[in-house]
Parts: sequence; C-alpha cells; structure tokens
Amino acid sequence: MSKRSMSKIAVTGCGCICAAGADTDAVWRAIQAGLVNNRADSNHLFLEREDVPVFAVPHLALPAIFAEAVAERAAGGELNRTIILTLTAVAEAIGAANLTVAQLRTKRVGIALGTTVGCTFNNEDYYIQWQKGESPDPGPVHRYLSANLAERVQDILGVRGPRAVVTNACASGTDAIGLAKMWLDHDLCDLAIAGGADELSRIACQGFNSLMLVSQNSCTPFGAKRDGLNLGEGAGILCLEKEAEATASQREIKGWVCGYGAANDAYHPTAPHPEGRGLQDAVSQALAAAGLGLADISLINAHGTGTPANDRAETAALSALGLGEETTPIVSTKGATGHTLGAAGGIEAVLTLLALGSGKVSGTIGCHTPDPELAVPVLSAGEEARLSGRMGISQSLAFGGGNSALVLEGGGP
Amino acid sequence: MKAIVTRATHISQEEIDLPPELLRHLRRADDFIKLGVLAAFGALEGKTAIPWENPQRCGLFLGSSFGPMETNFAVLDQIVGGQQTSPTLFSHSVFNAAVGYLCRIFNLRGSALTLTDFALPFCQALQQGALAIESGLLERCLVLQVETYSALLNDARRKISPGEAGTWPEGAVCWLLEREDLCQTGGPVLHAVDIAETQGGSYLESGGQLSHNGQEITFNHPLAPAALLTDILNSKKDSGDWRLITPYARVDISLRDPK
Repeated sequence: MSKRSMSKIAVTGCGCICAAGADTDAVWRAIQAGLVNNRADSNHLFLEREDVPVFAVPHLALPAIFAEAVAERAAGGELNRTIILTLTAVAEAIGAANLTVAQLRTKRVGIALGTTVGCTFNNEDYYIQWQKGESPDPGPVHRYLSANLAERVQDILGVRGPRAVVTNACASGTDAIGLAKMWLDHDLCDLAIAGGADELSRIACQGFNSLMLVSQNSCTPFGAKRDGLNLGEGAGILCLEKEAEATASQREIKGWVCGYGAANDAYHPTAPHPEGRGLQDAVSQALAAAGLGLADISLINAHGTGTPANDRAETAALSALGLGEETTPIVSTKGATGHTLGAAGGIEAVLTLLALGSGKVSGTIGCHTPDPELAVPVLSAGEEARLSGRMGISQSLAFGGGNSALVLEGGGP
Repeated sequence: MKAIVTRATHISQEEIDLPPELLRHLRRADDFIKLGVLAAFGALEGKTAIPWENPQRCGLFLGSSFGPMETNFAVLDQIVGGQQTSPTLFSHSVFNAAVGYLCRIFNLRGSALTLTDFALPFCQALQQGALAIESGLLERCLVLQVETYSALLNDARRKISPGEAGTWPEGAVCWLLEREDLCQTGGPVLHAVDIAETQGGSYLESGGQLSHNGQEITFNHPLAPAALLTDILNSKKDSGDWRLITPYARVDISLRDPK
C-alpha cells in the first residue's frame, strides 16, 4: 500500500487581487474592516437583471516588471484580463518571496493555475461577424490561441518546468495548488507558482443566473436568508518551494502547504451531494496526507458561496467528519471577494494563510444571522475568533461534483 | 509505486453509438461528453460501474486542447441572441462537465481533474495520472483526451493556415492506469513521462512526429498523438521508448515490460 507523502511545502510568497483590494494587505484589511466592494452591474453582464451586484476589480494594469517581457513577446498579442490579473498576483508573490525574474530563470519553475473563463473563446464581436458570414479580423483567434494561462505566464516569466491549467470549475485554484505540491514532492521542479485567476464574463454570469444561483443582493454566505452568490473576479497566487531549499536560500517562510485531497461526489452535474460526501473524502485525504486529524485544525475557510445547497452540504460534510458545536471557526470570505470561480481556491488559500499567521479570523461578511439549520455553527459577521493553533483548511466545491481541500499551516513569529 | 497501462481505447466521432446502458445517462449530453464516456466505457470493458473496491481511490485526468467549444458557442448564441440561457447547455459548456458525467456514470469518487493545454494535453494528463498513482493519491485512474473543435475553429484554420488540409477528426482516447501491485491483467509499466515545452509553434498547424522503435510516424491533428500511441499500444502491446515531437513541445514516454 502506498503511503501519501507527508512533506510540507513552504510558501515563500503570496499574491492576491480582487474587488476587495489590489494586493494581499489591502484585501486582508478590507476583510477585517468588513468592507463589501461590490457594485450593481448596469452594463452588459446581466441583460435582464440589471441591478445584480458583482465584485469587479476597479483598476487593473500590467505590472511594470513584466512590461518588457510582454513587449518582447508581441507576437502573442494583447493580454486578456485573466492573464493580467494573474500577472498582478504573480508579481506580488515573487516580490514577497524576494525573488527576481532573473533568479526564477535559473530554476525549474512549475506553473499550475486554475481558471474557468480564461480558457474559453468568448469574443462576441468576432463570433457575431463570423456567424453573419463575414470575415472578421483573425486577431481574436490568435489571442485565444496564445491565452493558455500557464503557457503565457511561463512564456512571460521566461521559465521552464511543468505546467498545467486546471479547468475544474470553482475548485480549479485549490487543485492547481495541490498539483504543484505533488510536483515539488516528486522533484519535477525546484519552485512552483500556483493558484487561480478568473475575470468576470457574460457567459458565466448568464449561466449562473440561468441556474438560479445568483443573488440580486449582496451575498450572505451561511446566512439564514441566503439566496445565492455574487460573482467576482481576481487572482490568488502562492510561491511554493521545498522547505529545505527555501531555508537554504534564507527566504522567509510565510506558511506551508501540508496536505491536499480531492474527490468527486459522483452525484449531480451542478449540485453538491447533500451530505457533501466528496468533500468529506477530500478533507480526510488532505488531513491524512498532512498526518493530522480534524482536532488539529484551528480554522476552516469554507467554499461558502451563499447558495442554499452549497452551504448546507459543506456544513453537513464537516459535521459528518466529526466537527461539532465546539470551537473551530468556520468562515467564508466570499462576502468580501464574491465568487471568483477559478480564482477562488487561490485567493482563499492566501487568506487562510494570513489568518493562520495572524492567529485570528474575522467572521463571514454578510452573514449577520446564521442559518440555524446548518449542521455546524459558523462565525458571523462582526465576530472575531482567536485561533487555537496554526493549522487550517481551505476547501472548494465545484460543478461536475469536484471537491478539493488543502491543509495549510500559518507562518509568522 | 509505478502505474501499469492496463487498457487503452480510441474512439472517433463517427463511432458514437450509444449502448443501451449509457443512453439514459447521456440523453442530454453533447458530443464532447459522449466521446469521453464512450472511450472510458471501452477502457472499462463495457462496465458502467468500476468493479474495484475503494472508489475514492479511483479517479481520472482529462486533457483537452479546446474543451467543449461548440457547446460554449451554443451558449454564446443564446446570449447574443437575447434569449434565456439554457441551464443544461451552460452546465455542459463548463470544461469539467465531461468529468462530472464520467464520475457519476462509473462511480469514480477520487481526484478527477480537467487539464486544458493546446500542446499535447494527453501527455500532460498522463503525467499527472502517473503522479497521482505514484504519490498514493489514487490507486487507479482513467487518462483521457477528448476533442470536438467547432465550425468557427475549422473556418479560422482554413483562413489563417490555408496549407492545412481538411478538418481535424473529432474523437477521444482513454487509458486505464492501475497501481502496479493491484493490477491483475498485466500491461506495460509507465516508467516516465517527460515533457519539454518549446516555443514558436502555431496551434492551428498541429503537425508532429512520433518516434518509436526506429519507426517514425507523422501526425497532423491535436488528438493524433494520443490516438497513435493508443493504436500502436493495442496492436503490438509494445513497451519501449516513445518520443513525440511537435513545434511546441517534445515528450518522452517510457514504457517498460513488467518485472
């Protein structure tokens, strides 16, 4: 019987951008302050429900450190928004790790990124012209063919190593971090840049709307009157290294990825299993890989979308795993970020590490009255909990029955 | 612990013929999903549920260059046409919809991921599948590539790369990998999958070369490398070293006879 690896992978840098802030510190401060920076979309995302709030990144620009590399690679064409979001978080993560692009080029660097929208051809102007039998300018086709997220980031960084774009819907970012951990465990690379990114898109907005999963108000994850999610956009990136290498390079370790688990519900195309059976399996695997039990966990950063089915299934799974009335704080950060789809796992891993490192966590923004029917209690808006330890879980659920979980350890003094 | 390649199947779009036991599951599915399920059905020798204990340790890795592109456009059609979006169509346009079907039909409850890359996605999925078994995450897994393209893509190819003849054939490939100590039927050991990406190739010109045992075979569409590997594996039950070379990547796959 094979034993799961129990190595810890060091997190030497984090990067994050979403509607709550343009970098990790800004997002963290916004969550602690309980800020909700969503806005009603009045232009094009929702045709029929114009007042639906979304969490859009207000200002986005290509990070200066990549300007030259992007200009040199003009053949690739214009960068889409998902790639710019990714590069923004990558720039912050490698900066936080005290790494330069030149240093990265001396290493085997794995790139594992989750996305949903970033892999699709969704240029409506081209599509409409083509449908009419016209011959549209082929630029959008070239841009699509040069927009594979991991390939483009690999190219702009000028690095070599394994790469993967995980398109596992809303669990993509968590799975990408899990894959990167496996690469490092098996010496496929020296360092990995992993996480997720997604931009707001009309197809996703209309699609979630068609499934009656979108709230017309600010979302209230775990709330008694929750009625759906708010979509968002952003990116969350970790810079991962083998602990020995990070220590030898005297890089500050901000935390660790200790375990990863993934499992499928094998139940329904879009709804989670009512008891969250796949999530139970994923969390159990991640804990086993980390050599821990649920009692060792001090924080659970849940998927917590604010849809009735997700929040019910997720808390049911945690209850079935043995979590009771006691103490482990369960929170969702989507009240501050929106549901950023493929980015969610990356952003939430960053926020989990920050909370574990600081020793405290703020309650779920938007959840003023928790649903009393949930199988385990959650931390409400306005509450704050001191954490009993440095180990936590960041978990994701996805269309297609996907579930994944990371066991993370916070760094700090 | 290494992985054994127990079975391998290749199915083309023309071969979509749903057996009665799959009809109910696939009545609303698009061709992308049907091809994936049929390829897996072949690799599992016509079973609709895996015969092994521990379904939590059985998973899959599905690679694709283009994903369910036509279904994506069907959703876009509704949006630009001002129609209501069909929830079924939207859920099928999500890249891992096929993985969801595969897991439900065959009761695969382990790690199940979709990987999207224009460059040799089957090899990427194969590498991850082997790693999942070696790491202990899974005991068995299906490794697939599914491609269905779209009319828009075919038209763009004709205009941008007029030298490229014909439309790319749609289809799917599926390999079953099993952990060495659990495999009862035998098969070559997947010793290594080494992928080296290169730059500069156009993904609309999907030509390349497979070298194996002194033979060199050329190919010219995104599914062809996986289909060729599968067809040779099935005809000769061959182990040995295989090298795939394209303008955008080089992959070395090493298959060894079991000890």
